[in-house]
Amino acid sequence: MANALSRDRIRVDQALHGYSEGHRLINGSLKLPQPDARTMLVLSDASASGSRIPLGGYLTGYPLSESGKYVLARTWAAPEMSRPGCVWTHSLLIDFADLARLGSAVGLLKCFQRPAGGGGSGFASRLEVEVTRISTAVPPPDLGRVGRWVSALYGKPRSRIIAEREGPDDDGLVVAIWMQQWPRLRRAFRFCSFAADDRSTSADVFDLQLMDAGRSSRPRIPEGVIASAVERGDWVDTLLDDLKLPARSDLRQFLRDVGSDVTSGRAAMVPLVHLHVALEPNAGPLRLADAISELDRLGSAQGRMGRAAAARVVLSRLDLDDARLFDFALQQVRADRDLLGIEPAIVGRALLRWKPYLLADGLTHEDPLYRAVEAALPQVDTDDLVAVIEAVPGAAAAVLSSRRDVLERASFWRVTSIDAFSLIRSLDADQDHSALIVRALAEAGRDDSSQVVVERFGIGPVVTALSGMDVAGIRSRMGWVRAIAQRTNELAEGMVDGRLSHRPLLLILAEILDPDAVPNSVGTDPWVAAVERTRTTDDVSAEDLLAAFLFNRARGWRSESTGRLFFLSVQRLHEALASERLTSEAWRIAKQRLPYGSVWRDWDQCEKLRHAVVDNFINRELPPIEFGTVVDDGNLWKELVDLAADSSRGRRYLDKVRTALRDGHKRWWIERAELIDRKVT
Amino acid sequence: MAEGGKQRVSISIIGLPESGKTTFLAALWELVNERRIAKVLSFDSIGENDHSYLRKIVTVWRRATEQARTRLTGLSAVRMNLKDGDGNVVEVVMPDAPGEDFRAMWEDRELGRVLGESLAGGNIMLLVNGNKIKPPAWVTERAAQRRATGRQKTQALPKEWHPSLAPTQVQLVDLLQLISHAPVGRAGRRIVVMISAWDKVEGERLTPDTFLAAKLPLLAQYLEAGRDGWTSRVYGVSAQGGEYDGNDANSEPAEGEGPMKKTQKRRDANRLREVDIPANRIRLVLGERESNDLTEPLQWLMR
Repeated sequence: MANALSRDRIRVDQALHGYSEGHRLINGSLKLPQPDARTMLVLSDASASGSRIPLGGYLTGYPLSESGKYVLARTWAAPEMSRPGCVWTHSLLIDFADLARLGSAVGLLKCFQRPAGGGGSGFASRLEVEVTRISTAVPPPDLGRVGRWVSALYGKPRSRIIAEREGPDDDGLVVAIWMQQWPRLRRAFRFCSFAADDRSTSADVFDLQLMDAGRSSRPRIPEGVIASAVERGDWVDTLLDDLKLPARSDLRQFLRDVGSDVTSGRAAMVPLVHLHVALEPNAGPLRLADAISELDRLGSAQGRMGRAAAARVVLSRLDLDDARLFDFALQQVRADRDLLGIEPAIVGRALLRWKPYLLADGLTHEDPLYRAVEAALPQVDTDDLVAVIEAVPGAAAAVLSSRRDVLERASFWRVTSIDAFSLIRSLDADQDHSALIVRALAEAGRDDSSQVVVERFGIGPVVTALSGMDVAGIRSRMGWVRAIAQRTNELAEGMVDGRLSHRPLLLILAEILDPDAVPNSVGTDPWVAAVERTRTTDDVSAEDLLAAFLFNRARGWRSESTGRLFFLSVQRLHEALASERLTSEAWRIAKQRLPYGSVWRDWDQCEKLRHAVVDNFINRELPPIEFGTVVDDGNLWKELVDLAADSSRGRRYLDKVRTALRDGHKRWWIERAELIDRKVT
Repeated sequence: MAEGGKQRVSISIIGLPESGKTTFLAALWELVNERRIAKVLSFDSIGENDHSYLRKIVTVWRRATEQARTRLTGLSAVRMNLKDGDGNVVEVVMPDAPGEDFRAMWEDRELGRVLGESLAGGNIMLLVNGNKIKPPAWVTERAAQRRATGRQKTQALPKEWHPSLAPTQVQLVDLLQLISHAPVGRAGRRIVVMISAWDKVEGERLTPDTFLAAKLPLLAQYLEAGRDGWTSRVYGVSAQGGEYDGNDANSEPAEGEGPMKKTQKRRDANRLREVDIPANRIRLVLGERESNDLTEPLQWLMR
């Protein structure tokens, strides 16, 4: 409840000045410093001697800078006092901060109280005043006069403005003008709604004084400007619209936002109103540029918030396609550590759009734009970033520092000015990410960088990338395949641990690798491990070639899994030879290690193949069970058995095969054992 | 101070609020412009200042109406050139400051630059309203009164002291001391103490000198002791010659309101208005001698 009260009310000090052997402070709730007390004493005195002070009194408003308070005072004539020329003045002293909270002065005006019976009691305590946030509207019939007043006030900002007082309602009009101002101007504004002479002192000039209409029409203020003599500016209507219908206008809020750092007083009103109009969505860039240069004329230290508002609009409105405006906006945000309060990402996005070369210049951490770019980069579309780099290759480092995903775009790697080799060498990427980079590089046709990539990352990312492609795809990127093909030790590791288990890639590797190239120091042959993890494809010629390759390897010296290699190759190769479908490439591989046949049967390559297999099993004493299962085809197996049975050494080996098959308890193994029974007995 | 055969003298009229400064000024202006009355100084020429202010206060004075309060703002420095019987022309410069400014010198120890400069060099005319002296309370007199009336001493309630409560003479002595020392002014000047509203106090049958010694003994002794080198004279003055009407200035109809009733006229004022030559209303008393020549104390201050 207490909080609710303090939100909606302000505490206001008060003072009563009047006559007691001279004009003096009669009572008050606050002791002021001497200079302020003196100012109040002077300004609480009658504004004009010998004038008819209006029955309801008149208003005076002025700041007390030392106390940080604004005085709103009402002065009445005091004819009941013994001496002529005496007045009562009831002053309300409002904290500058509280003054800013008021939307209207209604609450304050209700507080004024003329002392009755010459007494000054009841003025010693603070008042609690309700905060009226809704602004008071100026009635349409008065808008003409108010228009002349504001026209002079802000059109001649350095002059003391004089206007004619017509009646008691004028108090409200002056207060409405005062309340329209932003807090900083409001608390510096000096006005008096009834005067005969200039109330200004050498230090403090009164902005607006309404002169007693009953007096001589000749103003007694030599430097004063008569309101009605000032030409009306195009901005007056905006102010009048706001005064007429304050609830429908956002001008006050705008002035409040942008006026906080304007110290040039009334002079800032016109530029700020122009800016307000220029910032409306339908206003064009020309108007905004004009408003900005008008604001600039106030001085570089002025209107920071106004510039910020303009800069914000320039940076966020994509339709304002004006480089000059952007230069202005950039200059503003760059001069401020906090980017004028604009969201850094907005600044950064505009910067990338308008001035990407700034990224290439190397923004330092101290530069406020650094933060802007840092904030914007994560949000920008990757393709847009690539476009930035394409336009300004030097920006690549800045972009890549926060957007690694750009590296995954083929379009990036197609940028010819990018030094791909150096960039790849400098990368520090994890395997998943590097695979994506390789895919992008491959897609961009940057096969030239395959070697560098493999040096930097090993074959892993390349294998991963290639594993996502079919045979044709892989074949179109042979540079990458060749790059990994050179790293036989890594290939062996990849095949054994399963990372290289993409059949199409194995097929292509079989085309270019020497069958003995991949080492097999211990354990299962890597090729066996890799091929057994994969399934046969429909690509007959490639599969035939792989069979030829594996047969060749089995016949070589490298493998520790010869029997398994025969198992993986012989039947298919035999079929291919028998049906004469083997490609020349596959044949070239296969024939290298086929034994010479008998002179008259040299044409029978199948027989050579069977000899080779049987000889290998017997001579190398390969595991008998592997012979027992080396082909699925029963006829072919029978032919192999027949060959083995031709020699006594072969028959001894077949005996071991028979034993091994019998241990297997599988039906077809038992059948094959029985077949050997028939052969060797 | 001789400048091309012309003597330039600055005289400052000072006094607390309601001491009659504006009335004196109005009467002086009326007098010097009245050719039918003999005086030791006559009008020579007007200085550079706002004539309208002088015209305004003189109009009020002629109507035998009380001067309105001099406002705190709009200090009007009035200058006029007067000449003596030998043809010497003298320039008299008089700041017409509100009494509050002089009171502020005592209460707030504050002095404006313009007033300070005008008080710095010239001789001084100090106006003291004889009818509004806040007398010192003599302890011995109070005791004697109690003895005579048989009253017991009552316990007075403690009251917070404020500079404004100080006796008039304390304020005035302080005022004179302030303008006798740097940075405000200098010592060793002439001063005329004008006891104004003399018509109201003359019933006590005192001469201005004895009135000063009786009512403002501290001031009288301060001047006599000569510590700050003052050479003094004491006059009684009735610059308006009697009781005036109230000023209607503040009683004119207010905005949006019909005319208010006129302030009640006083009989004395009607008598004053019947005097043929308004300047003859002025009464100036020095010792036993009486005249209407307000320029006499000025002539004395010029020396």
